[in-house]
Amino acid sequence: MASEGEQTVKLVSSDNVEIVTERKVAERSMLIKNMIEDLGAPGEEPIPIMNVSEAVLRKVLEWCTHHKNDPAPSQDDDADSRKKTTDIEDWDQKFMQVDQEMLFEIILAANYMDIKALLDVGCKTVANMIKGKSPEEIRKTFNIQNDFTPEEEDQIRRENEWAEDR
Amino acid sequence: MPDPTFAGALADPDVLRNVLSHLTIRETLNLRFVSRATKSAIDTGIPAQEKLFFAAVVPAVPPPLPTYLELNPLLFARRHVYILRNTFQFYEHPGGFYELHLQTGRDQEKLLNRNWKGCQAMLTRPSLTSLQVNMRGYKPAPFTNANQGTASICWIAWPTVNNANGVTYGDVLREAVRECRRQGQNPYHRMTFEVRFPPGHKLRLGPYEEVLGALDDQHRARLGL
Repeated sequence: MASEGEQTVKLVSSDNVEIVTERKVAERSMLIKNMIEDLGAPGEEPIPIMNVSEAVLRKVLEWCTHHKNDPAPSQDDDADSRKKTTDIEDWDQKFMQVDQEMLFEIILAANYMDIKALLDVGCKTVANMIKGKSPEEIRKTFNIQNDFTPEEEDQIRRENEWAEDR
Repeated sequence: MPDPTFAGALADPDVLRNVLSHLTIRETLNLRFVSRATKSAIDTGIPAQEKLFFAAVVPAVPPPLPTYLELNPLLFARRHVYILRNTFQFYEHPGGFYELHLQTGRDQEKLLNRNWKGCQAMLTRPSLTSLQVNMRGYKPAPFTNANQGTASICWIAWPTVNNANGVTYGDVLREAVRECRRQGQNPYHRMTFEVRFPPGHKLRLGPYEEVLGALDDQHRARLGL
């Protein structure tokens, strides 16, 4: 009988593509881990990943493969991981160098699949894209239209006054 | 299917909280100024949390004060278990005031920890109503303690209800940090502020004139405390 590390699981993406991967890799996702435990027979029953397309799922599994031997996060790690925005390891930084649609797909998939570390990396990446930028620069970065009326802008400016330097 | 855009991602409360936890208050406010969708995500994401709890983490920088404070506006109470020292507490006062209380020193730390445990226990309760009720019974540490090398410092701020998103306590925090530096706190210690907003309310802490500074007996008498 194969050990847990050698076992494989079948995942089915939202666009009905079946992907076979190592159980250890897949279990970086708490969603999948719980499903495997519930199903009791990993490898036989395909596990549907309803909200994640094939392309995104493959990308997420790429991350999980690289991090498959990482220690399981503890509560302390959870707090520590928020200490610094900038401390994204090099591999993760490269991994996150994707177009914005894919970046947000990965973040949403990480959240759906309950992969905390990947969610953190994704959110830190987005936070880094926001840091130090004015609202207009943020709009440019994320290709967002300013849809506030001048009155609404004035209102928000008044609300934000307290945070201005004096 | 989820919306893989900036606004779509931030509409997810988990993603929003995570992103904002890496931003300063000012950056959060800038983000709120970007579009209706992001403003709405932030404004609705904050009160949607089970616990209305704002935290602000001041960077370990020597004086003079930075031009901005690293403030994390959206952290859950459970993230605060590691806060053990140099802690400001900001809590509902029975008289309708809000009180910012600095504790320093080992003995006060113990005192604080004892208080904090009580506070934390309350925070873990799921019901905001019970949290509010329990807060009324919460007793702060004494304002001065003869056993301490450093007396605790108090500020009183007068809150007013605000229709905005509620992140309007920066002046109080800045003043507190300034005072903390003045009192010779080790600038390399991390300090943590905690600000509690009562359930269902969004508070605005007024400008400096409403922050009365270190509270002495005369102040207390004038305020009827």
